[in-house]
Amino acid sequence: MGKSMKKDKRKGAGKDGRWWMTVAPLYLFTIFFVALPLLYLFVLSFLTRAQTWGVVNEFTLENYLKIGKPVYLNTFKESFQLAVLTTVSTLAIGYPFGYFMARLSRRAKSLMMLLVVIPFWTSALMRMYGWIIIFRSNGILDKVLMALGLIHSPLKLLYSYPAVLVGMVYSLLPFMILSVYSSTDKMDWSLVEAARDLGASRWTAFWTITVKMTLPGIMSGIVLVFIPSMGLFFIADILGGGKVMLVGNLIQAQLQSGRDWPFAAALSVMLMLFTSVMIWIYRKVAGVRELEGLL
Amino acid sequence: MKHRKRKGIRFSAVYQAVLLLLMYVPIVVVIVYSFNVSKNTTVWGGWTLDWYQKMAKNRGLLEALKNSLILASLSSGAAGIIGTLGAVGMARIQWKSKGAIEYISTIPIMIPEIILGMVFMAFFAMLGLPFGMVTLVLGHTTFCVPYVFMMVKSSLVGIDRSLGEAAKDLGASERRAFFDITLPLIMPAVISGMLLAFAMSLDDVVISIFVTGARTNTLPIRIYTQLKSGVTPEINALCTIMLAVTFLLVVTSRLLGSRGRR
Amino acid sequence: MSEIILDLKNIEKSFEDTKVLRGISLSIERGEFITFLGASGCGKTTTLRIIAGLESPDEGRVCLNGQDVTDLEPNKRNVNTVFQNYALFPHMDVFSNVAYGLRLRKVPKKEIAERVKEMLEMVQLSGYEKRMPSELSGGQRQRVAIARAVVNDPQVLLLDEPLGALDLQLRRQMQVELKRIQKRLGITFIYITHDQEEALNMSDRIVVMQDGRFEQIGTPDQVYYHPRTSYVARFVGTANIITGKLIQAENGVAQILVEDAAVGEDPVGDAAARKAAQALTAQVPTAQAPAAKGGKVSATVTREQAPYLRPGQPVKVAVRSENMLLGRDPGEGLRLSVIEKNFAGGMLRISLDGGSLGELTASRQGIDSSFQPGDVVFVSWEAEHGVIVDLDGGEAGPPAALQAGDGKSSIPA
Repeated sequence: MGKSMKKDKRKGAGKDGRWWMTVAPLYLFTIFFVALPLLYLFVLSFLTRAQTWGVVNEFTLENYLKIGKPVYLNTFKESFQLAVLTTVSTLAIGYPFGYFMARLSRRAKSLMMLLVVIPFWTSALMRMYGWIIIFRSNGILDKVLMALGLIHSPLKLLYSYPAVLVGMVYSLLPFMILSVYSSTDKMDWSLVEAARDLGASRWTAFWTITVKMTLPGIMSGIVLVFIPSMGLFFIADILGGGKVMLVGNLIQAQLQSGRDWPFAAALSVMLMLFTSVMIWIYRKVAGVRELEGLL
Repeated sequence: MKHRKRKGIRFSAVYQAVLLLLMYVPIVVVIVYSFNVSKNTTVWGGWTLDWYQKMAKNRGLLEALKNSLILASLSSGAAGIIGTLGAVGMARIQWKSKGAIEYISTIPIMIPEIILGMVFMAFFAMLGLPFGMVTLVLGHTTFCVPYVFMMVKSSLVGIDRSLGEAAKDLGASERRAFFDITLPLIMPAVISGMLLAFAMSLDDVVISIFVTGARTNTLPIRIYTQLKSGVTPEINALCTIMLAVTFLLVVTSRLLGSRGRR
Repeated sequence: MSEIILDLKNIEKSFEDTKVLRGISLSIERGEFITFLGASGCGKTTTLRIIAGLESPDEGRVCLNGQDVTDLEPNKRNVNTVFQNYALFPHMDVFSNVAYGLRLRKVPKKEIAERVKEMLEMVQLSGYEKRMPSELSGGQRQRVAIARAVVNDPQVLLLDEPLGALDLQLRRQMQVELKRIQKRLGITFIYITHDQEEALNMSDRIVVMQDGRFEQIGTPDQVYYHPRTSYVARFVGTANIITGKLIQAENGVAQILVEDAAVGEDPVGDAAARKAAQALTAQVPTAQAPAAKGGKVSATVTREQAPYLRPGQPVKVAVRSENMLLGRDPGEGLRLSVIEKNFAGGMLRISLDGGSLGELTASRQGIDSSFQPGDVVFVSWEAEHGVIVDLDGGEAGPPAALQAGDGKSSIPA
């Protein structure tokens, strides 16, 4: 059967001839509105900023050298730290959730899936707004804690680093849950039983079998959380009140107030490089092409 | 063993329940405060529907909502066509460039959104396109295409090749077999991909901020600017309505998705 | 029954670098039930797909009803297929599935309704019109698939392992039903299977395929009783292949000397020592093997084979396990030792150490306790049960001049 599945060369040529029309829009769109713009970004990062507005077509490495300045390097460092913290937190919180989810009955699974996906689909802004109401001075959290007698004066959580972290973890958690879930769901549970049968304790079986088998899901979750967390400037903006500066905020600032497009382009190229390396590592480690649980 | 297993399930149930609660708290808070008499979210002044009435009269807000809906419809529609045709065609052609194009087309949902926003801003400025609905639709379509493409692609994998062959064997032409067999079978994936794309477009702030013009406001942009300055509960009311719409979209998409997978 | 409906002329097909079909030719008559029998990967499915038009051959022609259809799309051929996994359209109910081909041909609605009804009656699925394929059992799906193909009145019906997914009982039942349908409609059935029982039960003719070639074409009787090659003999039922030298061939009976067919010298040596000896034998077959005792066996010679036989030439004889006669008295046969006994499915299988001939098998009805592992036995068979195979140079040799063609001439002398 396997052999007969392969395309016949002679006939295949004729078939391709008719199907090119269906892929034409995708090809054109991808080339003109994804590939070309990305290429332009790359070019732009080597151009010189004009005095007032726009760019001058003069080659320079200035934009990349500028990233090396302590101010900007620091932003990268902080961004990286927050991203790592976010990723670790989502993994710690999301892994058990995804794992437990995979052990539910079929019906419960699809219900749980729905419950996880709904917040994911809801406007991120709206959810951030919810956190503002909760975190704000004399807001819900303060009132609840004060009513319980745990605190006596408002915590002033809004516009702080913890608030940004909560916002990040909160918005990216579904990615981790779904990734872990999809790989746990595919796992062959008899492997764990076999390990137990061979004398492994519950923990040993979990660490040696379950974690190993769900590694692709974990990796995929890490990538899916880590990459956006470098760039989610609006969370830092809304919940951090400008106190937390991420690479995303830096790029946004360059574009909107600084008007230094080439520098913003250079920052973006660096961020993309970083992203690509992450994905490359993921593919090497997990040995798969597509990210798990993305949809 | 059995006893311990029971206990494990109980702990997992508690864990899941608590986490779900935390996921929904911010959403519930926004909804509840849309019925708050007081304008200030730190004070609870009793129940009212005033804000919904005010929202219905707020021209700017409605304009933004209209723009958002148009934008989401156009870009998810365009993505539906490009993504579906692309996925179907890609499954049949043997070109060498196939893998590369497929990879590049998914870049928009792989990289941080801000880069995409930045890229489009610079690119459209270079082309001299006026910023507004056109640039918004183009920008949004790029990140909508991968959702449709990937969904349709994976549903095509699940379709037995022999179904198309059976149709041809029974006398259908290649085109007829596609419309009679393949299309109905991938339709749930097409629709759920488009719904996802619609929701993503409706929700997008980052890319919109960069590619919109001064006069074209979308709802997320409006909410974003208000969140930074000062929010009126009208926004809560609007968010609540949007949530209801999103909820419907998700449920529909899920139902279609599960039907498609069966 | 003599009109040629399908003609395959020297078909060749490769996928990438693998040759799947190595020039096969075959004529099939109208109303015939013909089975392609072979292990997976032998090229039988590819042959079927070429007939259906789902693949095109690299070389050769396909003629349907006298018309060359090699370059015709599948939808333009009056041939229908029952796919291995049925390929029922999951989004259409039973009625729409069966009616699909008729609708494409723009048959009037009323006629479609009638023909579908009639067809569902024939496959005993009346009243299932509104069911979806997912609501049917395996056997029911199978019958829908048959109805969907047959309703179009094809000249040839192709069936690709249609019973493969069913359980044994249902498979037996469907074999009878398929044969009944075929008889009733008088359509040519081309049936693919790897199950020799199915092939022997249903076919008018069987085509045994291996490695992209036809090993033998013949009636079930011919294939079963007169395998042309050792491959056919082994594949269709369990047969032992014994190599020897021809002493003489007269009056349709060949006398053959098997030189290397004895085991130990001691008839009652202990089992352990024998096992060790066996192991040694396996490693160094000739040097370490105990002195061989020649055995004389016999086989039938067909009229076609006779001219090709010369005294002294090496020959292979195929003997079905149930025809192996075991005795304790030294006679003309082969002197072998019993390795083990195995009782399964009402049959006792006795494995025999055949020295350089490899392991041989004899089978008996019921439990026979007279032979124990380690016993020395004398094996022989009636001349009529021995069939000379591979006369043209072994399994992989080119198709022989004798017994090729339509295979109808290999009737024993």
